Amino acid sequence: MSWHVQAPTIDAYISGRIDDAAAFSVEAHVLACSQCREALSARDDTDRHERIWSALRDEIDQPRIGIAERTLIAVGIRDDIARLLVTTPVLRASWLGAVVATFAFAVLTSRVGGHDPLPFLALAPLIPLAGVAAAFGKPADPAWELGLSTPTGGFTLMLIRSTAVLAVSVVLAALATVALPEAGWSAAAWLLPSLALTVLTLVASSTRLSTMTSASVVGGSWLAVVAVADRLSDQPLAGFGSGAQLAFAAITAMAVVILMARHTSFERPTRI
Amino acid sequence: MEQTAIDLTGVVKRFGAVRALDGVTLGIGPGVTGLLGPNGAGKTTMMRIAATVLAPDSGTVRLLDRDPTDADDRVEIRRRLGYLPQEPGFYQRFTAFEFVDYVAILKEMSDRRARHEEVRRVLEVAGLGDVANRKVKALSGGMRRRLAFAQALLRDPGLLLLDEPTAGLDPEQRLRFRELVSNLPNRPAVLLSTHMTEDVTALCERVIVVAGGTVRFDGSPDALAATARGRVWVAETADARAVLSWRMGDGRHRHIGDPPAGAELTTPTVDDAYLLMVGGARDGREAAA
Repeated sequence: MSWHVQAPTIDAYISGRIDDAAAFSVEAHVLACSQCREALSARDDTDRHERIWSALRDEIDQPRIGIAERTLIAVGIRDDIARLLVTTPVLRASWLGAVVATFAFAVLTSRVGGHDPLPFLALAPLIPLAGVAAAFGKPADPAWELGLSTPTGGFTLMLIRSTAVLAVSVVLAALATVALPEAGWSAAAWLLPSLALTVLTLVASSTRLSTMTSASVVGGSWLAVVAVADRLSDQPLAGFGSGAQLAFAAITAMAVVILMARHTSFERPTRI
Repeated sequence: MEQTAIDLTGVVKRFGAVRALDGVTLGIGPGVTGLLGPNGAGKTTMMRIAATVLAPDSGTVRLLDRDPTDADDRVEIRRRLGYLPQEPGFYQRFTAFEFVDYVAILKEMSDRRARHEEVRRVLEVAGLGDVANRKVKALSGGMRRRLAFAQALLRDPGLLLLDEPTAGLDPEQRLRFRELVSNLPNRPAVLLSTHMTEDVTALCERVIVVAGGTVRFDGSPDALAATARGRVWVAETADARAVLSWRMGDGRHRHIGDPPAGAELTTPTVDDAYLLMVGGARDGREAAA
């Protein structure tokens, strides 16, 4: 071998500060020259190699990701949050279908029943309740026990999934509202009750009640209150007026405070 | 490394009228400890308490030198815990990779690249590198068991709880599993529940026998085998007086208990001792049959 790679060139090569033509030349040379190969490997930066390998592996060995997850990432949701979200049943096609069908039924009932939005307003807040009941806890989540043994499988996971349920329900309910008969302000009167009932369900499930039982109790009470308000008052939509809306806002705020104060109960090792 | 990873004192857990754990006191340190007992002995209850997913009715529990009833301590414990539940439960639509990645996210690995590296590593260790992109629902029972094992290895836990990890594995996979567990880095505390005495003999430095919610034995596998010394016999014929007896491959009969006529004493195994300890009754007879 008539020439050898000079020390400054080796430095430049090792640190990556070398142009492509020179790099190819070094690589072609060391294949044939054991002396330069040794000089190069003696100066090798293992950390940098490891970083490059890791990046390369990550690039070529990308795991296949499902459509739902890809969609969530495309709209700007962080990939780890997206992974936790797709385990929420309400984000699956079968669930979305059921929710859409329920809203369609509610809208239809409201149109048929003398253009009265009451059935829709009474039913819409129950949708996120059902979603939350199916999103969290022992019967609904197959990997629930495993999740509970991790640092964030309790409250954090519950919040992420409940937010997903609420977001999906609110968007679909808003779409359904468009199909409602002319009702003015009252077309949006389901929003605050939905929030209030969902947070109340979470508060109830921070006790010994399961999420499923909590949702049933809160949902049942809601229907009873709506029915009684409708019976007692001669005003239409008595349970959804501005006074009632203020009350729902107050209930939501209070329930959020209680929920935050009780957050460790979602991580306590008694819920099995 | 903590001297005791699991420290139970007078732990009682009832389910209705059944006392699943009836005043259990023991300490478990680094190395592989086997938890041996018949079905319904309280093994899974003990595992769940050690995994911070179940609270005892009374008694005190300390895990990795921390108090699991304290919220901050509990999070710290869970950070260093690897748990393979008896019935892990999977999201069937996930691939093997996605499932382990999901658990890694719950274990606070938010950096994608580092997390994916770690997921690939544990899948490789569990021998699932080739099926990483296969859906969970398309995996065999043994593969799912290994998938559940893989997630338990994430982040090199200081306390590894394996509830019947070898159930459903074929002999080759079981050997591979033993190799893995005996070569874990940093010598974590491993509590391995099983009803297979071979696992204990092959793998565990210490064995705890539980039955009826209480600890019946705590010591080395050799010491367990020694408890049956003088009570295991080989004879030409069967004898009804034995606690347990069965016909072996060579046509002779192995007896555990009082000696039948013309029998010769033989060296007891962990199997014999275990059957003598928890069997004696009909359960054991069925288990041996």
